[in-house]
Amino acid sequence: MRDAVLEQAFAHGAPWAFEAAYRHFGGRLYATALHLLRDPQSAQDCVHDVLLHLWKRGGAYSSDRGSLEAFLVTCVRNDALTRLRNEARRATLRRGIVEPDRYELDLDPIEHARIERAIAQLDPAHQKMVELAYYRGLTHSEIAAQLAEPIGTIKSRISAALRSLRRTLAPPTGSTTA
Amino acid sequence: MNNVTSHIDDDADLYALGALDADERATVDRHLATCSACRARVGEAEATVHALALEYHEIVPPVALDRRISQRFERRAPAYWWTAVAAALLIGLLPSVPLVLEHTAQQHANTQRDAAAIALLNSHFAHAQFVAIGASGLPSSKVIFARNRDWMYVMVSGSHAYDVEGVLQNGSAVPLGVTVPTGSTTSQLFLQHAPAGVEHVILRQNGIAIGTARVLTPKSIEGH
Repeated sequence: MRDAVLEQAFAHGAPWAFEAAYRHFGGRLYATALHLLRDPQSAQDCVHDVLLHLWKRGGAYSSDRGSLEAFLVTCVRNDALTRLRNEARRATLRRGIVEPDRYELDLDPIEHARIERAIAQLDPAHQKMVELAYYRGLTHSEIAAQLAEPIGTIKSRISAALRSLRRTLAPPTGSTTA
Repeated sequence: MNNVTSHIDDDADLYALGALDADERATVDRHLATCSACRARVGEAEATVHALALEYHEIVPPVALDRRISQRFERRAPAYWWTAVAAALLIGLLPSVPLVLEHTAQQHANTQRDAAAIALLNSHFAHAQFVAIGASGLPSSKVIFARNRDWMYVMVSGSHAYDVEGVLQNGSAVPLGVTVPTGSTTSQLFLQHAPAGVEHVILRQNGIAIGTARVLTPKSIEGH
């Protein structure tokens, strides 16, 4: 359930809304950062810096984009991946987020089963895209290089894979509450 | 995507997944600032990535992070309940309108709603109910105003337009504007710079005064 009051205030840059967003979604944001960065201090810096950057920058979020929580998860994920890339820790990234570590983290068994079923329904080429782009955090150019395929093909395939997942995973949109 | 003016298409999904490099992401960000269609497209992709993120349990952040966030934002923050009351008042009294509006009057009303929302979220306000004048029918109506009189917001139920007039301390009247119907449920006027010295607000329909509201701020009518 979305919170229209919080989303509107966040979109307008009200400082209290940034702290309220952290109170509401901090657990999800910190988990997202920690699972990628594997370092508590880096994960803290990531969440803190993302909120501060968004506040200073202003105007990045508006409610027509969708839920504030999903927006913030994307921002944290992008920032965490940038940190990994900038720190030249690609080896850790490639080793890490999937098998077997993925299953050693604190998974929600119900959601995990639901996601596994959704991914299993994808065709093998799309499953590969989800694994490389989402779980391993590779860019499209890295995936293209790894698979020796054209970048345009890889971009289309990643997009198609996510759209297929959307049909089975995404919750109904547009539900807001004051 | 090479052009900031072209839609981002498949890049929306790559953006949400973090599969673009930094330069490409910055290009998408610039485009999103001006394109509501692509914001919605990215929002859909973000919802899917968010759904994938639910695979992991949330993790309670360390106290040190709580403290950093609080130090950064808390001193500037009003109590959440206050802002929630302000916005709930606004949202509860106003109809929901489509995000994409083509009608000029509707766009104007929507702009007013946004301006009023910002005002309500960022300042202390009071409110007063209109009282009927004579035997004329007065729809449910209210004026909300900043304690420092920086702004004033008049709302009337129904879909008519009403002239709004201010009465100063010396008894003279000044026109304040006309309410704009936002649909079938409310008509509203937002004044970003309310004239100083207004003590009463008069609502007129077809030139006839139908209601009055006192906009002084005795403690008994203050919103908070």
